[in-house]
Amino acid sequence: MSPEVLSKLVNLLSFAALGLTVLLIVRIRLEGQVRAFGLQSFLLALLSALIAFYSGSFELLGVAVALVVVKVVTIPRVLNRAVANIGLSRVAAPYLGTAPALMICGLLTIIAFYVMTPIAASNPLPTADAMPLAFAGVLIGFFIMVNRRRAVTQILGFLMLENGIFLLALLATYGVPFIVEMGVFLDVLVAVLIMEVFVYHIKDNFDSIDVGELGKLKE
Amino acid sequence: MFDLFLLTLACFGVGGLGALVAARSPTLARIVGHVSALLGAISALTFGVAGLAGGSMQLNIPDLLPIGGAAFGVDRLSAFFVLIIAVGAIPAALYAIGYTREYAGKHSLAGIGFAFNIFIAAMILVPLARNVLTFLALWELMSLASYFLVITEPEREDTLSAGWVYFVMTHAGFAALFLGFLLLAQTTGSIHFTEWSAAAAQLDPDSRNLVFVLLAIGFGSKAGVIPLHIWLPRAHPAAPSHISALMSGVMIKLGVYGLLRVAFDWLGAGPLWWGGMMLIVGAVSGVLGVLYALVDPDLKRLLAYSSVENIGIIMLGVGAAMLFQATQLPGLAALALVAALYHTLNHAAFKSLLFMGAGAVLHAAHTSNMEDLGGLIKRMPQTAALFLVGSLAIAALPPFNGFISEWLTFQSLLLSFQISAHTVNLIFALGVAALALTSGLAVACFVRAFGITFLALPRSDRAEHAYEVDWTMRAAMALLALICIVLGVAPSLVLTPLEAIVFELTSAHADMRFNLTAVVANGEFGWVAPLWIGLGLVMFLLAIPLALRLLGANQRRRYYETWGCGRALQTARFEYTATAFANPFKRVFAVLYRPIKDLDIEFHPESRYFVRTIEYYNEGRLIFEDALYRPLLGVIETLARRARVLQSGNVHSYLVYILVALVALLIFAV
Amino acid sequence: MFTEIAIELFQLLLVAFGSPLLVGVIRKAKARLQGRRGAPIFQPYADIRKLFSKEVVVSENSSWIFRFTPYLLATTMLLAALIVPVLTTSAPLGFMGNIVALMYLFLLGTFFLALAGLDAGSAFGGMGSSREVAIAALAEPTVLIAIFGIALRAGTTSLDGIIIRFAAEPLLMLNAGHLLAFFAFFIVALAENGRLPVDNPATHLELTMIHEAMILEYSGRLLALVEWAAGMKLFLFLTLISNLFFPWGVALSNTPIALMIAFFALALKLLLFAGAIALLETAVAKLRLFRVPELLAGSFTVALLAVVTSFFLK
Repeated sequence: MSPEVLSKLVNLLSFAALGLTVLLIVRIRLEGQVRAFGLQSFLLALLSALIAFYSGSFELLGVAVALVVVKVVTIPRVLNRAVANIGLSRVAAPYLGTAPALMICGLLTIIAFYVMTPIAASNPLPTADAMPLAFAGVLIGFFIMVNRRRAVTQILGFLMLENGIFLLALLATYGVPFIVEMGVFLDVLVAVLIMEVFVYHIKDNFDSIDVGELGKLKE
Repeated sequence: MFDLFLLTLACFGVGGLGALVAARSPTLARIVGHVSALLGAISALTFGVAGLAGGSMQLNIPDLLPIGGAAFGVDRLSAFFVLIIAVGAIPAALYAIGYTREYAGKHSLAGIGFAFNIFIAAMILVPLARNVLTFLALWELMSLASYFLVITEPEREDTLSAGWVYFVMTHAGFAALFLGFLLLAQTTGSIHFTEWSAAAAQLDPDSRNLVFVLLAIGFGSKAGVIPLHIWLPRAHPAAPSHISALMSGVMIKLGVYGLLRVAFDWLGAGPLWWGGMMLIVGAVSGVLGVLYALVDPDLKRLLAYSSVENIGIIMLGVGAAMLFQATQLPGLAALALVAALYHTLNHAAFKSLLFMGAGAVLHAAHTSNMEDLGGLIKRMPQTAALFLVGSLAIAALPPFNGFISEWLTFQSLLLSFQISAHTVNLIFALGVAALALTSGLAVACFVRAFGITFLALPRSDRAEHAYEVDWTMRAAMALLALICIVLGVAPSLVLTPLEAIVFELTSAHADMRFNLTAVVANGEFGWVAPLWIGLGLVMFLLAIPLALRLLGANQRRRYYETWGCGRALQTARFEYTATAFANPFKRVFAVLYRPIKDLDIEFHPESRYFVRTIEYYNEGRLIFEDALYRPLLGVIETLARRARVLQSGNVHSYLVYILVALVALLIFAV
Repeated sequence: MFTEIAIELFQLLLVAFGSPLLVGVIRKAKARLQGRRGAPIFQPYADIRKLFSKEVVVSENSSWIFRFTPYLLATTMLLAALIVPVLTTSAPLGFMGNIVALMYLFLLGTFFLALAGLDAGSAFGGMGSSREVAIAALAEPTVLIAIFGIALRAGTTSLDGIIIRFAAEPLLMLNAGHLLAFFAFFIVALAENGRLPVDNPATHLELTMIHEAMILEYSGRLLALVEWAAGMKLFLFLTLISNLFFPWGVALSNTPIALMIAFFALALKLLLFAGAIALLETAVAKLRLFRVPELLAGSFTVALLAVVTSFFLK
């Protein structure tokens, strides 16, 4: 596989991953959002496998497998359990409607391009061109955490932000050492499990998972 | 050239003075005033054509004005704008002959005739002015004359306040112009325009930027760019329709003239942010102008907002040209300029046509509120057809003139990829998006304007009793419609002189080729053949019915009621209203309109199941007035109240003021 | 010279007579996906022929614009058929306009159709007109930004030039900007042609109609012309998309073999798109009217991204 073909494939897959982040803004139902996250993690695993194949690194292949196990299988299952626990609930609308939120995503992507392109230009690896896209994923994940009021969607925003960081590391340096990756995965898994328990308790106490309601605790 | 100049002035002089002299007889005043204006405009047209062919003229009258006297001269750009003014003035004068007949006895036709002639004469002389005071004096004369014409009908509801807002805004712009000119004259050491282009290159960047901003504000407020546009939607509907046509079609173009002089002649090539600012202002004006037009139920105010939109499109071209000039792409700069100038001429033609059509509707149905109109196509068929031509032209649809100029503007914006600065590329991309949105919304706007006003059933008795207007008004509109069609299918007629103008202004050849039928931009980047498109449309339009007849299609036609879902009768109340038509836009762009909605239902006293009346009120708010002007006026009022302390009424304190001022002046000056 | 006129004429006839077949294929595919047998694929021809033999009933409230519009619609579509490179890139009348001019030509048809909707004085017609022009206006920025993205990479806006340039690029399908522009353009094609999820072409409820509401009053040969023109518009949009974004098979020269390959390639591409549209229409529901601007805003963002990537990832 030539570097050019790899570069183009990596660009395409990174775009698809970014598109799935944006989909989180568009989809309303929680099951759909969880599925989008699962799909995105799968794409990232595919990307890692591709780069592992290109660079002949077994470590990366292991990372890909771990990614599938943790983020495509386990975490979505945990989240689906949380969603099932919540059941139907009335939630407040996000702070910004869909159309302005989409515009802001476009704006954030442009900002990501502005910031990352000089950095990407000085990176000799063929995968470096897609770095702005990964950074855009980080920014958009952050925006989702700010914009949405449902706790589960905020968790998903955080997870996608984490995915973006993972992708950035992958593209910039073919991934960080295996031990570090595993540590991060473990952290994320534990965080999600804890958050699942919290969400259950929030729902139990306030009868809704609108994070804005937590403000009532101040009184 | 010089004799044409004198002839033009003489015609207007005769017209103005003649109208005053004939004050006793309104008919004579009307005829003399307007026919002379017509002749003067025709003479100005010849003058403009001669100027474009390369003629030149120079006139200096040393003692007519202080500091340097009056100076006139002509170059290709000035001649082009004189031509535009004439193209607007000839139909306006012709139209006025019939339109002003109804003023006899109510308003002074002598005064109207006088002001009309002064107005057009001043407008023609402005592009010919060649030093600071000549320009400013003529600019002020033009504003004053137009003010008096705007308030021709003071008995109508908002006319006086509209005139007042116009008066204040135009003088605010004048103040900015005054400052800018004085600053430029002081720093370059000369009051003659011709000497500025050489001297301005040596100026320090700070004064150049300040002069640019001041002159941009002054000329921009005359042109009606956002946020300096608030006088337009008030003044244009209040004025008589041919005056609105002149103001909208011609006078605001003089703002464009000034901006072109500033950017390309007097100050020379400037930094990137000048062009960027112009482009962004153009994009915002274009989109906001048409958005406001879309929701307005008054036909004339809709047309006024549409003028703001078209000025936005022209500014997009000008801004693009300035950016190309700043990035060393002179061929593309020239192309963008050609597009902007072409659109200036086109807008003069179709906006005048549309305002005259609106005036005809107002004349015949005594209302310009679209909610009370409808069905006029059967009662005023020729006016309707001419208004349709105007609508098609302004919506930039082939094969009319608006299409060509917008196409050229698009091509020059799309060609921006040749620049390699990312920020500039993004600004251009947003410009393309803005122009596209403007264009689409303009189609929606004029479907609404023409459809609600002219089609289906009349929505009120006044519309029901409308009648076709007299021949002078129709002839004027037909003339403009013909211009729209000709400029649409034969753009080479205009492109040849435009190329020469642009070459004179920027010393660069526009990056395009054209012949009688086709226009090609930038090598092989894009082409269009409007004559072929026009011919193709006509050919197929004739061939299809013929083919159907030959193939034996059923030719019978039967007239019956409109489908009503089983409803018993069809009245005008079942039609779609202008407010309803604009509803999708009000919802999508609600953040901009922030509409106030009110629903009032009156029930039958006996039972709540029967409804007597439903009143639905939906109006947008004018955000610029609320956000920008009202606070500004509030600040000025507060300052004025504080300053009132100085007016103590005591003679002694006034004497002290005089003494202090005298001493201070002596100390600082000596 | 003579061959080129013959080819141009053949392209015109292909569009004129092939569009009802395309509509028929889409309907049949949709029917099959919904578990029905569906009408035969040549049914639209029979429908149009039947309509031509019926008398025209015109509303008393309408004017000449109502009767003029169907002819204008058919005219603009036939003229567009001369400009769009259906089979070959060297059509002799292709110089009449570039892609920008083509979009404006379509807009001319939309303008008159919206007027015709208002002309009969019915509330449905007005509603259809209002919605249709709103959607057309909001789709314009997406179209032109997508064109900007295309012009950036191809260096030209002439339809022939774009195809030639793209056909020569080996890794075209892997180019992110290209696929993004395709996606945006496809959504616009759905919006402009009144397909789901924007508008349901098979609905019978007036309150859910957009395009159908405007043509509610038409009958006889006028309705036949309107339906034919709508079919041609769909054909032209799909041809444009398949030839611009997937340019393989388009004849670059006028030899008979190249033209035959072009014909079969076009048929294959149109078949695939017809299947895709049928699948999409079966799988998604019509969007609420005030969610359509969100869809268009999304496609605008996608198109803008296509442009931005072409700038940065050159």
